[in-house]
Amino acid sequence: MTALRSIASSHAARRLRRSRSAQLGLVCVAAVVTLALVGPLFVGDPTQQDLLLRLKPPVWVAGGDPQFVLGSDQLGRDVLARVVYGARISLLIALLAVVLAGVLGVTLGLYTGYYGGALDGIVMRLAEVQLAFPFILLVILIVGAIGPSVTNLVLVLGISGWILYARVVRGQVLAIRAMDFVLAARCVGIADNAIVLRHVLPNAFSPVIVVATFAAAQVIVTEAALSFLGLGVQPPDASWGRMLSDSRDHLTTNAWLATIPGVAIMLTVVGLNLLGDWLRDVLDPRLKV
Amino acid sequence: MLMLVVLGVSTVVFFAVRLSGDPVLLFMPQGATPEDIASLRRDLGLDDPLPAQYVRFLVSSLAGNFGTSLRYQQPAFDLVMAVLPTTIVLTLAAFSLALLVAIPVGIVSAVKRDSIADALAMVVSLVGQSMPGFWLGILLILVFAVELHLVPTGGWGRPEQIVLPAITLGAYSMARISRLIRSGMIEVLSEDYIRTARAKGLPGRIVILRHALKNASIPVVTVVGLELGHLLGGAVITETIFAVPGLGRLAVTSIIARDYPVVQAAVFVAAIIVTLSNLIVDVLYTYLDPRIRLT
Repeated sequence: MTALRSIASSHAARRLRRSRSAQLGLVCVAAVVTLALVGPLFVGDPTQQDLLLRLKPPVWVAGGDPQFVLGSDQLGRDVLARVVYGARISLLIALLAVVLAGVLGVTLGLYTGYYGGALDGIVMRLAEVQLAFPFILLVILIVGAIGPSVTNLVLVLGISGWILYARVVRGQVLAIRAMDFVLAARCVGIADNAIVLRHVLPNAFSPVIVVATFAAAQVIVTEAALSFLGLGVQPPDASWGRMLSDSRDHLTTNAWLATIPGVAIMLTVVGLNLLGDWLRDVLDPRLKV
Repeated sequence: MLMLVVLGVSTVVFFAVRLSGDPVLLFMPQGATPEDIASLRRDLGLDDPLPAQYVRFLVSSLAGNFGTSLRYQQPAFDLVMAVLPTTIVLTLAAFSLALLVAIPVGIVSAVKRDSIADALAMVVSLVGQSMPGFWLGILLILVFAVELHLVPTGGWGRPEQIVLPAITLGAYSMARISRLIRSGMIEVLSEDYIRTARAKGLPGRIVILRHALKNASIPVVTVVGLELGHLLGGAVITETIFAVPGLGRLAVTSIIARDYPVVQAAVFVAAIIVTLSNLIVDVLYTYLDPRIRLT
């Protein structure tokens, strides 16, 4: 009895802890999304410069200016406003890139899994070849060639992100297509396309949500890294990576410039990762992503 | 597989430069005269049809010939090979550091599961996994170079200059591997042969290090191949932050300066290294788990 109870209680304890971290993830992501959605109502223009008021620390530090809650940067721009607009750009790119990668990857995964054969072989080899590339170098190469802009970032991050979706969906489809309801659908004469889209896809979809959550975190980090290298969002538009890159010249005078955008990136990424862990536990605990 | 990767990499590199339209305009500095452009076009053989150019690029890239750097007037391949040792040293330092920390942390976390040390290690590793390298690097500079004056903010050549870049680059792998070792050890420690080993009176240290760790490290080896790819990618960022003259920094500065021969050579070499290390990992597998046979 005591053994049983300790198993039950430890299981319950683990679940509680797990859901607590999920709550934390949810709070982080909700905070960043809220910031991006309603933030612009409360902050001014993120590109407004005032060289007389440059490099101000946040208000809670001596010498802070109430006009700049999180301080001002090297051009006297409001850091809070830049964080808010940076969140908008980051989330927008992440959302679009994840949807693009998801549509591509899920489509490829569905059809390669359902039909198998030569198409399957080619697509999976292609994935292996792409995985041999150091991802960031591949992205840098292409962005460098076609020029940095928000549209190009979405295209490159979206098109290069298909592999994980394709692999996961393909695995699901391989199992699903052997099931009786697929055979039944085929027997009553439903076209392959309709079977794939209407009968297989809904059953293969839940891991896609998990993959998308982790992928969104990945995209946000990559976008910030590219902006950090000067190959992402272009000035004067605000972006977290760019803010970090600019902060390097002012570490001795205003270290907050290096701290605040970093915290923003990290909150978003930790939040998405925790949320992803939780979604995986709820939807498909055996999924390895 | 290796040949396939080489083929794929060459293809992507070849077409990436042509994605932007006329590669000659990419190759040329801004403000070049039409005569210059025309003569370069002839020199590079860009008058030929695309398939012919592609085949020629494939052949010459296999021979390590990527053309001449537009910035340094030296063969692009030689420039890449000259900075490659720096990146390899940095990557190996980061990777050794990651293993050196991750293995003991993973073992202790697994053996003393659900202890405070375990919880702390797992929180730190979650943070480590979510922390982008470029931010970690800046924070390390801020604390250890700017505030404490313990190490220089960047540069390369002296032993103390490798410390911060290696930590920055290795942090993600460190976090990831310690989590993997922990979960692997937890799984293995409940196996029958571990109970057998304990039952026949082997000291706990031997059981854990010789019997459990070796089996728990199989999933780690899988990730190591992928980690090397991550590390090479991370080196791009790390080298930029710390002004380390390696492959990544060369690639980034070349892209910004539109020095495409060097970019092509750098990406090509990096991809080959990742593929080769994956091959080595496959071989390591069979040593760790003789049930797996190379086919």
